[in-house]
Formats: sequence, structure tokens, C-alpha cells
Amino acid sequence: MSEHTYMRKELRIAALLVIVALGMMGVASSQEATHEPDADIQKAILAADNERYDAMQKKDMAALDRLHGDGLVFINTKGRMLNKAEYLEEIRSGALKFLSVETDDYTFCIYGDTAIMSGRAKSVVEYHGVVNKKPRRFTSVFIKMHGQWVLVAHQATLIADESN
Amino acid sequence: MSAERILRIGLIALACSGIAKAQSDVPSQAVQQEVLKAEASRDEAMQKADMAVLNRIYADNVVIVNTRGVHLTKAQRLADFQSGDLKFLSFDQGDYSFHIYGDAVVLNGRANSVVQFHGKVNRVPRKFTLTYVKLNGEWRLVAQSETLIDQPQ
Repeated sequence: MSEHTYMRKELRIAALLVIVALGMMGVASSQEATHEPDADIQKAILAADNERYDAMQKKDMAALDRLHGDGLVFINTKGRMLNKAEYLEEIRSGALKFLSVETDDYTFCIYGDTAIMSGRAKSVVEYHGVVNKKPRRFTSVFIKMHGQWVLVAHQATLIADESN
Repeated sequence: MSAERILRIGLIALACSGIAKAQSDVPSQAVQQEVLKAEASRDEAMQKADMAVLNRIYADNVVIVNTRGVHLTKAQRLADFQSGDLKFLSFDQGDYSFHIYGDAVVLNGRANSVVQFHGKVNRVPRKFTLTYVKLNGEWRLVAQSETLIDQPQ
């Protein structure tokens, strides 16, 4: 076999290996983007959110650290924007306390590894010594990271009294 | 061909495929620019009530929570713009921060725009969270939430 023929054979093998490798990456990528049914994802997110509330009430900082993304942006009903460290510190210090937890009226929209969960909260919250019983709407953004749904953004807005 | 040579070619092929994959991950700066461009188009379309652009940018299942804590659908939000029930009297939005998670971007910011909603003028600044997701190659708004910033008494 001449050197030229030998090189062409090598190139063909290399090209074939590239195609196989890219094909394998494509399969892996499409598996990441799908195919867990939405109902199962909703259950997983609700479970993560319940665990989050439970951890807040118990001040379980390890669980809270795990359930919130490092880039967390939390906007509270006063329009204050908190990062993860600030938010967890409010819980740890007792500045933010849940006296009761009640949420309902959920809406879910799922886009691969991104989930939007919106709902209504009637939880009673003590914030810097002031008790807030007013109902609010919240929107939470969860991202699946390393197989776990974590909260990366949350915003709460008081529900206005319609008589105003 | 020796086994060693085949192995070498295989490793080069895998390295090449790795480079191809890395190149497909758009750098975060570029993603920010793309999302800002989509957001600028939305801002302009809101002021002009350009329904075609708004229809393209808002995802069909977008979740919107306005400053009154009302949950709105895409149809309701677009109808507000079309009817003139929601109007921008001035537009001022900025102080952006971005968090990028693959094909999802969380964009936070502050709005000082003066807005007329169902006849009532609102000048109170607000904080917002916008979530954009890349769907079929286009950045679409999938969630929008706004909260008035509590003013010191």
C-alpha cells in the first residue's frame, strides 16, 4: 500500500470517528433536553419547593444551600432584590420567618431543564419584626442542575385590594 | 495500520468533536447581547403597540404577574396593549443583571417608566424579573414578574 493510499484510509477512519463522536454527543444532548413527562417534573419541582419551605422553617442551612442556585435572585414583596447569601442570611438570622405556609393556584411551564412555577401564597410571614398576612403572587424559576431542580429566581408581589 | 495509530486518530477525532461542541456554546457576553436585543425590540414594540413583534417575543405560555399581583396570559397582556389599556407615558428601564443557564436567561432590572394602566397612572419604580428561553433559535419571554419598590414613608 502506498503512503498516499495509507493516508487516505486514515483520513476516512478519522472522519468516521468524528461522525460517530458527534452522533453520540447529539444523542446525549437530546436526552438532556427531553423526555420526562411534565407531570413528573411538576411533582419533582413541588417536592423541591416543599423541601425548601420545610428547610426555611427549620433553618436547615445545608438544605437551603443545596436547593438554591448560587446565582439566586430573590425579589421580595417590598421590591428588594437579594442574592443567595443575603437571602439565606435573612433566614439564618430570623429576620425572615414563616409563621405558616400556604400556597396554591399553581401554574407550571416547562422548557427542558427550565421550569416556571407561578402561584399564590397566603403564608403568614414575619419580616424584620413585621407580620405580613397579605396574599401575594409569586413566580419561581427552577433550573435542573446535576439532576436536581434548584431555585434560581423568585419574585413575589402583593395582590392588590381590588377596591383600591 | 497499527492499533496505536488508530487510537491516535481516534483521540484527535474526539478532540475535534470537543472543539465543535465548545464552539456551539455561545459565550455569555454574546448571549447577553442577544437577550438585550430581544428586550430592546420588546420595549420598542410595547411603546408602539406593535402586536406582531410582541406576539413573536412573548412565548405562547408566558406567565406574567403585574405590579397588582394579577396573573395575566399572553392574550390578556397583548389585548391590554392593543386596546390602549396599558400605555407607556415615558420609558426608563435599566440596572440590568443577567444569569445565564444554557438556553435560559434570567434578566433582572429596575423600571422607572411612567405607565397608564386602565386609566390609572403609575409612577412608582419597580423591580422586575424576566426569563427568556431560546426556543427554535429565538429568545422568547416565558415569564415576567414586577413588584413596586417600597418607598420610604
